[in-house]
Amino acid sequence: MSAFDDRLWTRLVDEHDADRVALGSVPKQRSKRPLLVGASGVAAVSVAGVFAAVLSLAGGASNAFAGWTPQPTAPTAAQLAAAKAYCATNVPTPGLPLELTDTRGPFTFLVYSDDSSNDFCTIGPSFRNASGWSTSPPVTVPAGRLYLWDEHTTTHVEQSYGFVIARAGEGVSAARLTLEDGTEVTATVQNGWAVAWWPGTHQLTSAQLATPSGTQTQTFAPSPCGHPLHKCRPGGPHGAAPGGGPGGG
Amino acid sequence: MCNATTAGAHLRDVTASNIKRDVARVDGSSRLEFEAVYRENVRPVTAFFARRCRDPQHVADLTSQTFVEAIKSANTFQGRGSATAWLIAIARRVYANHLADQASGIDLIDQLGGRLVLEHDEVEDLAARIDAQRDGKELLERAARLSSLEREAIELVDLMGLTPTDAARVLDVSPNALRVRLFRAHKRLRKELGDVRL
Repeated sequence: MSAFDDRLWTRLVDEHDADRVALGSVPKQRSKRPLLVGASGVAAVSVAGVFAAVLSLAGGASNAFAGWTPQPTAPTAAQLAAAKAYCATNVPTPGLPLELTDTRGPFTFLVYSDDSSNDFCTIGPSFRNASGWSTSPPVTVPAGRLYLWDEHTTTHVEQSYGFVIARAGEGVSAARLTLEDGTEVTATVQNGWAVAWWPGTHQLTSAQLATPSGTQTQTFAPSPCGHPLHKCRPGGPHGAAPGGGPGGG
Repeated sequence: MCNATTAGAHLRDVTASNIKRDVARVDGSSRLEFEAVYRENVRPVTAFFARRCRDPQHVADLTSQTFVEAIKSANTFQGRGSATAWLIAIARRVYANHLADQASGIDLIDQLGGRLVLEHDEVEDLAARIDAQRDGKELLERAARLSSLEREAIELVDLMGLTPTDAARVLDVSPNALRVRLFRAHKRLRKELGDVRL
């Protein structure tokens, strides 16, 4: 919380006993907007501990990912404006520089970072996700390689998706990811970041990276955290980027 | 000053009774600590006012007022919707009352025993939050031809991430009516602004 948030809370406590107040009753998880807090596994070296994730599926989500495309698409101005507006309010650390915009049909995935604080945010017709983590110190990414911060699958209401957030080493200008079922997904690479996501539970197995010296292949070991039934906590057992960290591939 | 056009005139119809009707009974079996609610929602509530006001002091006052009102009516929270939706419903009422006070020449809210005088860093923080809402304000301004209900539906669902059901509760309409309004609003926006993909 910011100085204003803390000071207002102090005043609410001092003048209105806010710390002794509780809301009347809470439903037992029957909300149609379920929240999966902390369900994302964040692979990070030296995670400082800032993490919050909110995933919501709205409107029944019979096909939460309708319109998704394996290749990035160009966002419209209004689509981008809506994503930025949502993300500005919901990411843990508002105000970080926008480093990457990945758009796939009606879905927009934004990455904000100042190299130590990192937020990512997804907005689409049926689900939203605002998360963040902090790192200390900033990592050095090997040239021509990907360094995975997060490779993760989230399951909710029979709707699963995986995503990769990676730092792209110097020289990486494009990345085509291959999943364990052979599906190919083109990542968005911008400002030293690479991001891709896909419906389903399949994990990333390799990446074809376009570099000045030609196409490089980087392979990734399966991550236990990627399994939909195996949720990892931030900085959890899959630790420093499953197979794709500094030693990955 | 805060922007009256963002909210729409029908906001004045949102009264305390609207909210209390939804939160009439408490079983007390499972209680939600207000501090957790505050910490989770202070930014969305601030953002709600940041889309309406240019002055950080106004944003601070209205945010304060919203949480004071929430404390006063905490025991009426029934939990049928999310706490966020409940708070935003209160924020709408606070804002509507603020507009009414402005129209009557009454100065700002004084429910905290005096205005929360902001420190310099707090002014900067709130100014940054107001600035961060430019895109949201722009989107709502581009939706100016829609009805106020449709604009608010877009704000609650598309910008704030509430479910249509929660948004319907905030706006005091049926979920089906909300979905229809939202569908129409998206359709009109797509038609008028191009492929909005909202």
